[in-house]
Amino acid sequence: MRHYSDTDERHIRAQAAVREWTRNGLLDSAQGEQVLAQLTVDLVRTNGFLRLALALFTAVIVTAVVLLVMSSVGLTSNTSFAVVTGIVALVCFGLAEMLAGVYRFYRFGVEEMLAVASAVLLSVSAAEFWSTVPFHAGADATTIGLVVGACCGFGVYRRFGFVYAALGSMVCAAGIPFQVDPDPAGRRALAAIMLVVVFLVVRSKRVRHGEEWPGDEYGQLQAAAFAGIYIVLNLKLGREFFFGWFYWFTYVMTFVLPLLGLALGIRDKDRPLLDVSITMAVVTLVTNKPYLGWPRHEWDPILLGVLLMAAAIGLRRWLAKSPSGERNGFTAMPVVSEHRTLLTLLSAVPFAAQPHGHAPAVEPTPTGFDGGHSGGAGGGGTF
Amino acid sequence: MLYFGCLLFGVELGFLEFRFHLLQANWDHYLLLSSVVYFALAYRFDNRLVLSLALSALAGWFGLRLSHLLWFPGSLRGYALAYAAVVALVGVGLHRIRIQKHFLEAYLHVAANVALAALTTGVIDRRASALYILGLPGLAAAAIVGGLKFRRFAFVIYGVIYAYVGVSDLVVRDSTSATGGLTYFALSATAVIVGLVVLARRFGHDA
Repeated sequence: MRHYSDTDERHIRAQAAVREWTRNGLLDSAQGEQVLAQLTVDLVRTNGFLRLALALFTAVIVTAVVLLVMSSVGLTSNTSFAVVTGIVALVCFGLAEMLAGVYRFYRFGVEEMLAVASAVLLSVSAAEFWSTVPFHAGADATTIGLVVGACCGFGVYRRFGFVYAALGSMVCAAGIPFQVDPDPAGRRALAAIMLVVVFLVVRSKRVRHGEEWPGDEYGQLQAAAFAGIYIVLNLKLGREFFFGWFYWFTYVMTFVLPLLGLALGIRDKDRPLLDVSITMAVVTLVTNKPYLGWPRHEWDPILLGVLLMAAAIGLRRWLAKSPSGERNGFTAMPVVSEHRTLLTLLSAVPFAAQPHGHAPAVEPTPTGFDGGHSGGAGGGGTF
Repeated sequence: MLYFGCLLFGVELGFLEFRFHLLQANWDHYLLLSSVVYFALAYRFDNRLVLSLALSALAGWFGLRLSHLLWFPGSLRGYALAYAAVVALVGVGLHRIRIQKHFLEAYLHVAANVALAALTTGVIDRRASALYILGLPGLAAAAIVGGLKFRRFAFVIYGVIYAYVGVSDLVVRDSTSATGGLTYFALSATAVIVGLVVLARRFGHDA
């Protein structure tokens, strides 16, 4: 089913590991070259930056072509939009197949964006087509789009191995209950059940394969499904209002899920699951007050930050204190420095997200009648 | 942990100003203060992410904030170019005197993005000087050549994307035909992809 053989996939991951070890001095360059010579693959690849740019410009082309066909032929109806997007989706998929199959492109950006575009366009086409059908048989156009999107995303993952396509498929599938179930609690429960099923399926595969390919992919999908369950069940991440037993059930789950994830992640040394669970635990601390209806204060982020820093420093010291510098396979020492591309991109993040907001405008001098914080016996300005 | 602590420091300064209005209208001096603190910590602990935070705080003090980053008004564009030049010169200077030489790339990432963004918005702004139209391709070409020479492909991408945005605006700004504009995007993006594929095939999987 997949374009790339098991050997190719394993060699590519081994190449990445050998390069990382060489970069970090665990192997000298001669040893690295020697090992890499035994791990050759006949695939066309590129680095992360060119891959991103190639994907971006491919998206520009696909978008321009769809709009060009629509505007040049003068098509405006839903049916014609469905036909055009459907045809372009098939063309995109054919090109992606050719690039991956004939030219042996692997994570090259172009074939990735073409495959993803084919899935998106086909789901848009299906939704548009469905909206023109007189009798909808109980499903609206968005539901049909999500169903087709879920199937296409899964198909793209199976064919090309793009894990993010499987994640997209999962998101589409989890979105379906939000379209079909009118009860807010019911649709969240249904979505959570779907994600639990996905989690259990991919977890069984992850356990069977371990960290080696394809276990690494299943590990990422498992963590994503677990995060999905949490997102669906943490009601404070949405804007709907809930009451009763379901509300308090989800409150308990916001604590149970991170703890369960941490326990499984630590036991199995499962990095993606551990990362997701730590994030979930932090989100639980953030949403705890809104859940209980307690007032929020300006100093809450500071307290949270201090708590997290204390926890991290305590954990680090506890790990470092052991005679061998590790406990149960966990160490505070950096073994290898990974994700150089990610680090480069992250280093630009502060520019778009400075920690300082605008200071608020200075309040006008109180007149004595506009507030009740002092001398107002607790009454507000409207008292 | 250090990065997180720095973020927390920023939040605490914001809280102090929010509650006590210590600096009031001169609140932007917090940015300068935090920038100095972040620089010291970045060099003390050899942390590139904190260095980026210091540079962004410094940029904030220069008058560049997120609301302005997307569109530099004319007066800010000059500050942006000056800031980029200062950052690049400081980075090169510290590299030459061998103080944390590996930080140079972080300085250049920030300088290249700020300068290219300022020039691109200058090209898009019809009231701005025509010098921007000359400056953008020149700096973009320099980023691409330098990126290829030193195998730092992020700079190649910066050059390609900013130049593409600027040139595309020049080409389609007076176009009255949607078909013409869309044809331009389809053909120009194809040409860029061909160029990038040639580069990618030449340099393989080098990062």
